[in-house]
Amino acid sequence: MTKTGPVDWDRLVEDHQGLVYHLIHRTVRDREAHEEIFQEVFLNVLESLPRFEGRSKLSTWIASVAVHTCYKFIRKAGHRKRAESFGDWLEGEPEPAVPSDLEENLERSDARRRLERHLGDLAPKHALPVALFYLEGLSYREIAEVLEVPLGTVKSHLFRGLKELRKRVGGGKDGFLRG
Amino acid sequence: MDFCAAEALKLDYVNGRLSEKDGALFEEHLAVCPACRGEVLELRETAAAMAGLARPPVPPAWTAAVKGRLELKRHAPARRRASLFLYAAISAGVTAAVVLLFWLGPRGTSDRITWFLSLPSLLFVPSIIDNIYRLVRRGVRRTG
Repeated sequence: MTKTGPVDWDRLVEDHQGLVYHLIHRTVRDREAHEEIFQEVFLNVLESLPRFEGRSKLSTWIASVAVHTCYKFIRKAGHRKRAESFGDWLEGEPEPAVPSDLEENLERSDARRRLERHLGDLAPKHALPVALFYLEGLSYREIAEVLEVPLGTVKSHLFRGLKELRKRVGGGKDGFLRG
Repeated sequence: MDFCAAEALKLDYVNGRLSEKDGALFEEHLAVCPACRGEVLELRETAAAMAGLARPPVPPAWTAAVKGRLELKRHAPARRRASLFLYAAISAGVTAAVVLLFWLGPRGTSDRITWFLSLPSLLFVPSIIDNIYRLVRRGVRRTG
């Protein structure tokens, strides 16, 4: 039971697991840890849901819980300086990747793999707004809420994220974007 | 307005978030500014390519696992309360039985001494409570 009524937990998991996994996938490079974080996010949701007042969409709030859980994991794992705040982490470089065979997905086209890879190479402050806006369909305002930054910052990071992706992936006549 | 430096405006234009009026104004600028035209085109292509990406699929086993953990966690407080109640009931029962035994026991002087000497046996009471509690829990689990 929450302030907004009773909760169908199976439904909540089914409706939001894609969003949660996507955010973990974009944020934490250590794939071995993904399942643990995935479960931790929903346990955190269970714990915090009684305090959810319904001022934002449930999916926006769950995205925020997911991003914070990822951040806490990264801090705990010792990849980052202990004193680093959430804001500093967003601004920083992406986590070092852990090599994994799971990276390969033969069904995906090469162009998509390149774009995926370059998106993964962006700093969280750029990768998260890009993923949340173009893949999850969140509005600028919702992204601002999830990442706890002003609206103008979201736009600026989104703009620079797109520019950075373009630079890394390449364009032009032979670039994959026109291929 | 310096359209060339207006990042947010370009982004809104690419994402279709500009008002009709602002859009028309910006398009007037685009018509005379090849640098901005090129930049907008690139941004638009990148955004379109992004939209073509898909979410990574959630491994199917994870859904069942997380639902199971949530189920366990949701019922944990009720289970803890039930365990506490059971433990308290057994403790009260055993304590009452011990008190009753001493109360109803022989009352002569030598019996008093025996009673006094048997006091250390009270140390076993918590262990008796624990064992009864475990037995009851095991029985409940089997029948459940």
